[in-house]
Amino acid sequence: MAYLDVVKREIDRILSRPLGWVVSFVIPLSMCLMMCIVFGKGTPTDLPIAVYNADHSELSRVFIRNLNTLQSCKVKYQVTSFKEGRDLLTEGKVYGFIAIPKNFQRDIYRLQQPELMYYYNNQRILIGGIITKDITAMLQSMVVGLDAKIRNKKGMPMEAAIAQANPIAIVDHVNSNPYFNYLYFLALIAFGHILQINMVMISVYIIGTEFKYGTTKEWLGLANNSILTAVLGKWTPYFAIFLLVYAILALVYFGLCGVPFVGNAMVAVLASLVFLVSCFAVGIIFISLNGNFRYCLSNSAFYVAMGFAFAGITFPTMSMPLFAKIYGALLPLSHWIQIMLDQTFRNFPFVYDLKHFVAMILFVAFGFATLIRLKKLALDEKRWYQE
Amino acid sequence: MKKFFDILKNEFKTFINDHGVILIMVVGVVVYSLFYAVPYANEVVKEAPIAVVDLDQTSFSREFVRNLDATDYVKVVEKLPSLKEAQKKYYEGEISGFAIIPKDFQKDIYRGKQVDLSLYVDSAYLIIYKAIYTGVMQTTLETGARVEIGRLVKMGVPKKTALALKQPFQFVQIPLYNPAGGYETYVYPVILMMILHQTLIVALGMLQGTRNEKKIRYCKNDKEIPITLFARTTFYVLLYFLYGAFIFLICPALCRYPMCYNVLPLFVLYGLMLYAAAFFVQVISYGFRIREASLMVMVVTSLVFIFLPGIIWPKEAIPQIVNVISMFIPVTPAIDGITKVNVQGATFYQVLPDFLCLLFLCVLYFVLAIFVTKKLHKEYEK
Repeated sequence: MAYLDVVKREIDRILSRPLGWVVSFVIPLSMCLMMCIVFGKGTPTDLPIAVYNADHSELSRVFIRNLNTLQSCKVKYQVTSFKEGRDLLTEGKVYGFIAIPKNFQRDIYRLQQPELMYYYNNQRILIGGIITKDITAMLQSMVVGLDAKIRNKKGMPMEAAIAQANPIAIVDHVNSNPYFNYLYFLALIAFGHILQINMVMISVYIIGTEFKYGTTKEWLGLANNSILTAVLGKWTPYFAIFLLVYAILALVYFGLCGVPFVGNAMVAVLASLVFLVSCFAVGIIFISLNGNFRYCLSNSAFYVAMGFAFAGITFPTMSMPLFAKIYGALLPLSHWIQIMLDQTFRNFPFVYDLKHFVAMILFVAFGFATLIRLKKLALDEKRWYQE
Repeated sequence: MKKFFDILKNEFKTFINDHGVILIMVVGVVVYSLFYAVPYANEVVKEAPIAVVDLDQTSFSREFVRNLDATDYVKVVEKLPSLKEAQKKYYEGEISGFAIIPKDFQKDIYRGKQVDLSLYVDSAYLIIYKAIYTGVMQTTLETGARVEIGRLVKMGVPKKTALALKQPFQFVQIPLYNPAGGYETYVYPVILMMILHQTLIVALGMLQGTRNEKKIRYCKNDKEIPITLFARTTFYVLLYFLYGAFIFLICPALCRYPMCYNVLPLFVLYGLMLYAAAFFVQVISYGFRIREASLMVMVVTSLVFIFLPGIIWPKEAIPQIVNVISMFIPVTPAIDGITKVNVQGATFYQVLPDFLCLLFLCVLYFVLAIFVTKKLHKEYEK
């Protein structure tokens, strides 16, 4: 059977040159696992901060003790001058620096509202955000506690005292990713980005090398001159390799890392399969530009390399300029990641993800339509050995 | 010395005649630098769309909604009658979250009973979650404080005392280096260095891949390898210094890229990174047996490399062993040092560890590159 002959030929090619399996298996898998290791902690803890305590009162010591109970940060340096604290920030040894002024406690009791200064490294938004949120929350509860205690002492029952000290409480019904775990969310998008790059490039590579070494006719001939059979036969072994990569990543992500899955597993699996085929189809579109392996590969690399930023996960799509939104929509990754986030964390009903499926299928349809052009190129010997 | 300049001139010819390399080292650098910033052009998430389900419908609750809408963080795009409808809008992606104001909101607050404001937010996008939470938090605290102070004043407490009781001290937050909290300022310094590092590596890997494919010797005899390697690399370092001059000297004036103009340490670190990266790629090119291999292998590494220098994700949260290994990738110590000098205004002395690390990498990879090139020459002859 022609199809099986092409499959067999492709397997021989994979075994004879390492580049194919290195780029489809070793590289994506090791990069994805690296992401899991780098983000393995999920949420940063014990980030170093510095405190300059010019007060040395009971209250300032309680305050420092409270700081150390916070999960996100740790008072690593108790400095003896203001300058020392600022220098630590500049050198990147601490991410935050709190200066407690002289007579802090005394001024509070005299109702003079002393100033507690907090400097933090906001260039590193994620880090600055995490510690600032924690410290602010701690201070707020300290203030509310102080207030409630005073009221309680004046004869108000504790419950009423708390209510009056903090009249509106926010009850946070977090809809998704309840653990604020960066691994959960970043690893998923990183997997998609890494796989998209490798799947698109592999698709360009397997056909591009046929042009580069002038073997397109031999390849088509084996498939009885059916371009569809020829391409499907080539895809089959790589399809299997990527399925293996999927399986390992799913085991690591949902198993080892313990990411909870709340949605419909069938939808997620289906989306991942369609994603794989749509990336292969995008590869076909690129190699059909002109059949020049080097040129088409460079262009495809250009197109997928920016996927991570444009898929709109690290930075939400709604705040992006129009151009970025359009670019994002032209990447299979953006659609796959929406479905995966919806299913993994949010348990969205399937109907709301339908549009993303349609988008990915459009890539496939366009890729298959391009096969007509690819066949024309493959039969043209002038396309061989292009530099 | 003459030899050195001859090689430099020859490398210029190689460069100018190789369209693939020009595509990456010129077009790629320029386009990526411009494009990569586009998603972040609006910088911070402002006015995240939310809905409010107001079950109280009093003047007090309506004022609360108005105040919420007035914050920079959220925009109340819809007022819906029930939880169910809010959920539907949320699934459709029209809103990122919604708040439910309970019945008797006004009555309970004035009675001194604590009320619960239910907040439903999509936290899969942590930036949006943070924006919405901050906006709601700010509004509830302000509203609560106003009610409280009003009550105290009614009881005859002087207003100033009432204020001080509600807020015993001022918590003054001073965000440094990126006061507006912009996302572009956060990632751009990292991404620019990454683009320069990766384009250099991919293009030089392509050149060596081509030599491997066609069995073209790196230079005539093995004794010339060190000078050839150094001179060829110098050509690309000079080219990349043009970009450096643009990024470090001109760019900050044009856009909002943070900059301290501490020029000398910047260029020293940058130059060392380029040399180390060029020698490094000569070592790994041993595995690139065809021209295209470098592109296929190296493009995807950028993503992991971006997180290793500790700017976007703290080094404290990365396993120590990974931190040590990552120092062998030239871009890691370079980004660490350059960000400290450029954004945080560190002096040369304060980034000495990064400088020494890069110097060590230069020497290490230079020696290894000579060794690997000799080995390649032997293989060509087989």
